[in-house]
Amino acid sequence: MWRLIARKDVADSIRERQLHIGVGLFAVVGLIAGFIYGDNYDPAIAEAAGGEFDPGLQFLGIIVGAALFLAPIAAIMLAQGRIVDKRSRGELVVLLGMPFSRRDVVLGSVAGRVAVTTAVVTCLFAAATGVAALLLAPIPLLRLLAFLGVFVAFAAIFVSIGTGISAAVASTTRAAILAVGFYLFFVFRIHTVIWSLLLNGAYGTRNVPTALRPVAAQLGPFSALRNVVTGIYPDITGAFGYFGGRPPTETTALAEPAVGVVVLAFWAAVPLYLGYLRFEGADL
Amino acid sequence: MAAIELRDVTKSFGSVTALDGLDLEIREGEVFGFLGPNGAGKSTTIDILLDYVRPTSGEARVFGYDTQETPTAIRERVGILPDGYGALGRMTGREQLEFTIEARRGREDPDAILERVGLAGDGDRQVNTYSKGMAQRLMLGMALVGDPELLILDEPTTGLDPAGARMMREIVDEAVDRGATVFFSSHILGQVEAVADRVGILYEGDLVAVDSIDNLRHTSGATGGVTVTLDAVPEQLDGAITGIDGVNSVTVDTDDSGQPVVDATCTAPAKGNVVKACFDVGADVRDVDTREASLEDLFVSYTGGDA
Repeated sequence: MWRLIARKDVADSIRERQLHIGVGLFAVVGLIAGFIYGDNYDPAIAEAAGGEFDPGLQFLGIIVGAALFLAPIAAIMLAQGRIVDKRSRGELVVLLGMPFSRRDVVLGSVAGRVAVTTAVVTCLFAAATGVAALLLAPIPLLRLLAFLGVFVAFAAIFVSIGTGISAAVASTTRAAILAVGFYLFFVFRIHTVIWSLLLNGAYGTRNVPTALRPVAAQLGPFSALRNVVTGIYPDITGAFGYFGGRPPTETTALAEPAVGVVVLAFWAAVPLYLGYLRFEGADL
Repeated sequence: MAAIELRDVTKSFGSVTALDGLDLEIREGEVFGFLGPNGAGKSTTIDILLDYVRPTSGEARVFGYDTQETPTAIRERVGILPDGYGALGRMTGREQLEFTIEARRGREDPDAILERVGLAGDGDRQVNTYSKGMAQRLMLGMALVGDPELLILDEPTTGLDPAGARMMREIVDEAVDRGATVFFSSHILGQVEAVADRVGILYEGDLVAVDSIDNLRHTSGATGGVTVTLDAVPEQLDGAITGIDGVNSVTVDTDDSGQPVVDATCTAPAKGNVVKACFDVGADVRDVDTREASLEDLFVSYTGGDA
């Protein structure tokens, strides 16, 4: 039954023009990214540098930078209102008057929003590639497809977090604030800031282990993604820039891609599950 | 098996007790009217049946299914017109019906339902733009999809015009004819009286009475009365009538044409005695009019006049 909710969710995004706006915005960013790369590409320089210079990496860097910033915020914002909005407008009592369970509503919302964000993220990649190809710049197609997969999955994690928020709260305002809060928390890695404050005894804390600071720093989804991606493909490290923070030097084991996968799995599953539990027990 | 079974159901919202130890059993095939003033707990009861709200204690079953353990089994068998419903996103009326038919695995034609509930021609409009009455008609239509065994209607006539209210009654009758059970809440007494086999009066979270309307009339002591129009009022009349067994109160007034009118509120057997007393004291009786206790009287007698 959740499939019917998911299909409705995608159809809603078309009826409510969210898909159009998302696709439009991401296509524009893609066009700009593709143009920056294609316009700066000079075959003469590439030739002079011989095999040392990889123009495709440059292209990937631009796209990864844009997608890192845009895909998560778009995903979490597209997802955060889906359930709480239905709850406040009385749509939920109609849906739950049909043979749907609350779990169907949560699962269907996640699946529907993953489909929508996948379309939107794909648009960014497609538009950028299209423009770059038109400008006759080389396209690293396989790597590009791999990164598309990475960002579709990364966006899905934020859809999951956003849906968890949407399921957990009863007010649309609270959901929106929480969603923005989560995003900023991750981007600015507030968890490391908090750990530093604890180390300095800001709240009267004592004996907080200094050794765990680099551990705390690796627990955000951006750091985890960086660790996974750069572990497999180190050349792209520069594209992460600010996102994910400084790569760890002290506790290298935590920067292993495998650990990053676990951290990402945590963010994909736990907030959604907690939100679902709250929703399951809530009076509508 | 009972269609609906509530056992000692209590529901508190914070410090407010919406339902206080509610016991209720509704048989299959009956039309049950759930009556009570605003805030009595009618919607809370319905919300518990559909598992929108969880009881604080007690047990609720629909066709034997526990509302919390197997809500979807219940939702498959129930057509619901809930309180505080909204449109499904930006769907049109027809899209909402199509979605409902798919979800309930019905075989209905959306246009036939639109026509049935008086919305032919409005199917292509967004439900967002419907008036309250139109949305109510659409929700009724959606509740009928898949011929549910039980219709639960929360204040079904809210926002409906007289034609819509009549349509609602026809829909209830048709559902009963095919063997369905109907459970509906209302604070409009006349409508309950018109369709319900049994009535439950809910007051401050407590079921104060459950019975057929006739029996409720009988046992509540809520009485009818008789109005006698006379030529003139003899002096002893008032005393003669108040002395009759079963008479609660007597008023003497004049009607529009200046004729004296004696009005006695009394039980049914006392009505004849009132008329006889008028003759006995020598009055010339011009007209006699009797009335039954209205549901309103019943309601007031059960809820202490707080209707």
